[in-house]
Amino acid sequence: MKSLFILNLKKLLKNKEIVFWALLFPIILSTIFHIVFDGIRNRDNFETLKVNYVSTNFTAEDKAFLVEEMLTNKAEYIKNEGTDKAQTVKIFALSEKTKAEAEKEFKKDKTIYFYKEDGAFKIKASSQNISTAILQTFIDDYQNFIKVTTLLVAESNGTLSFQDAMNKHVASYAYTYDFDSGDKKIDYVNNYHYTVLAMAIIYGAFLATEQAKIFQPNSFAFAKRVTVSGASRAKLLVSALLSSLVVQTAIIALYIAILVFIFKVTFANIGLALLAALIGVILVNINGFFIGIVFNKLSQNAVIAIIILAGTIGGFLSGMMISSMKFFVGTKMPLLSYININALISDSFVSLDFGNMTRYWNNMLAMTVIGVILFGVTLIKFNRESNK
Amino acid sequence: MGFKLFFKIVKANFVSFLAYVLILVVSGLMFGLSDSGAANEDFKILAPVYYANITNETVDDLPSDNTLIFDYLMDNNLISEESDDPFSQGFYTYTLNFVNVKKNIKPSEVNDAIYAGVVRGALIIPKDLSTLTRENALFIFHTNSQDLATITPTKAALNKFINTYHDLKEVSATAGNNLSATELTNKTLIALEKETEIVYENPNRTKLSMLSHFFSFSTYIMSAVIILLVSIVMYEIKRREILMRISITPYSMPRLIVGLIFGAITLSLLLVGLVYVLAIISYPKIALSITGLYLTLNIMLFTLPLTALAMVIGLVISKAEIVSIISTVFALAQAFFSGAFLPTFLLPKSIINVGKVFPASHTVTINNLLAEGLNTNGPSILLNIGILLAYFAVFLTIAIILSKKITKREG
Repeated sequence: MKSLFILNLKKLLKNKEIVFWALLFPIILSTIFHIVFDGIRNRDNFETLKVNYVSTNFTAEDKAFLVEEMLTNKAEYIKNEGTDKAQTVKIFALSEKTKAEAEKEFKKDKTIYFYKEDGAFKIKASSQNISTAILQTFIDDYQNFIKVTTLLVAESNGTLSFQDAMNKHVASYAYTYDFDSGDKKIDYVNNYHYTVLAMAIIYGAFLATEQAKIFQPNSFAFAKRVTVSGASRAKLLVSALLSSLVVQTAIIALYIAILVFIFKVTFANIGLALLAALIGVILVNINGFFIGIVFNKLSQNAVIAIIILAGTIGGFLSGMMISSMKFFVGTKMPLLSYININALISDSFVSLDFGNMTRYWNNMLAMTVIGVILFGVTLIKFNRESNK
Repeated sequence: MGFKLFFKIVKANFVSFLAYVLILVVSGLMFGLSDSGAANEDFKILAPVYYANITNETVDDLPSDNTLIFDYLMDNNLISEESDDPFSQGFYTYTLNFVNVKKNIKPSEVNDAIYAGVVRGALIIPKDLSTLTRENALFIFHTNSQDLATITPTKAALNKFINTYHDLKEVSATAGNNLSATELTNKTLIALEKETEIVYENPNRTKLSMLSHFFSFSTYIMSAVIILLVSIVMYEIKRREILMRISITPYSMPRLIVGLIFGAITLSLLLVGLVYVLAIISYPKIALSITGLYLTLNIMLFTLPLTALAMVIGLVISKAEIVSIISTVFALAQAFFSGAFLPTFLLPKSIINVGKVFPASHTVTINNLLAEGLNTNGPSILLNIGILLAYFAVFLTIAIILSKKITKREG
């Protein structure tokens, strides 16, 4: 048994292509994700907005209150700079331009500008973006302020002068009513790494199908030799399964270590995350033997295609390429999430991030049920073949 | 012969081909089903809006840790979809200036929707805002994002709405005019109307952006499929036994190569056709416009350097199994670095610069420029077309040199 196990282990490690799929491929993908997403992790990316203005038709109040007071002095943002650090930054970097200069700069680098035409403020923009939205809110606020003050004067039946009404409304800016809810520590970029980890686990099926070849004497010469050697089929199955499990567990452990220590991916609960990965590895190995033994007449091309298909489409449905896909499938086609091994594994890590233990254990249960069914069917077919 | 041979080899790899086509079809429909494009007009925050059953008596029961408020409201079944309070309804109406309300998301799905980037957060308004005192008035914005710059002006505006309502209420009460909640709300809404107009260079840009993003996304599928299939075909053809078999047939080598190239072009056109059909299903008006046609032509142009590159890969590799690895890694790396998956404005500049080595980067740039408007971007579009054609010329030359060398060596 021990020698069979060592033999299977050596055979597996000699296959460079399989080792590539199982380990190097996810590392390459994670490196890409790390480089691409490091700049857009869940952090405050606000930068002061460059805005030009054309003051040709501005009144003295427009210049004094809107440009000087509101947009230059008061428009500040408290930028979140990580753990308990914050920095106050100016929202706008304003520059006065002539219409021609502003238009030239707009055409050159899309710098937005505002101007006044027929008594109304207008913002010139190429597209809907953060600069436009924030600037519009400030200019609206300025215009609303005059209207609100006028309204207060009218409703006061002469008890308030314009100045009194203005002071009252200015004083009310001290009242705020907003409450910020939500855990800001959750990093949504992690999902990309989770789906790649799930994909790496799924590609472990290559190891299992490779080991399952030992039971295909009609297709492979070495399997024929093993069959005529008289070795117990049960022992062969156990040693083959164990060897692929050991190699894949080692590969995934190494990959998780790379994720944690090099790519700084944080798992909310590393113990339960490892459990999810281990159950995933066991399920995928069972799946590999299921394909190799139950569908032993499939060509190698078809087997490779099925595993890549399960990994790639599974990853796609779990949000690896379009993040909203995960939500779309989860809400519109929940059953698909429960049979997509990639979704089950990656969602287990996400559930831990959110502290949603019910969902975590549901995923574990779904993986276990699928594993038991596949293993049962594989054993039935295996016994039938043995009896022949 | 070459044409038939091409599709015979393609047929042998049908499962992989089908997998990628399936991703393309699902993603195409997904882009169409997603209303985020329309919803993000004017750069409003995409979020569901709910009402919370909070009264002056229960407001103190809210957890002191703000981050837990949404969970508390959910766990205690205090969230509802409707309110008949005029102040709450008016607040909701005013909110529409800043928030595109995402419908059909249950409160229990909000965290997943934020995580997946479907919404920015969730806004929760008290169900009976007019019954709350000024001290107890509140609204909640639930999000997991640290980047609150886009939300801050919205919160300031919503604070202003409540302040204006209460200022008006106090002033009118002092003057002896006790206005009803409905009157106060209506007057507040009129006083706080949005007045600043935004003059967009291209008013249709939002939907065009979504369409161009879909075309950019399709470069991923194109790359994976074309590199996988064309490289496998080229690998099979260059094998000694195949070359020998061909040499004894009455077909000439140049004729075979022309047939193969014709096969590769047909496959590319089929894929481009599929992308265009999906675009028409998702965005019928814009896809059928002249810009939709230009986007399709751009994708068609992209297939030229890609096919030539796939030929080079097929001629260089020594094992057929490597093709699937190269096609998967190349397609994914190219998609992430060139902005096919994520919009380029989200990517760091260094990534965009590295991404420029990939042909898809120039296709994505042309798509973005087409979406911004043809009037001002003509020269930049032509420059990127030139780069793609240069790639095609370089890869094709390498492929011809390699194929001649292989034929000479085997002959």
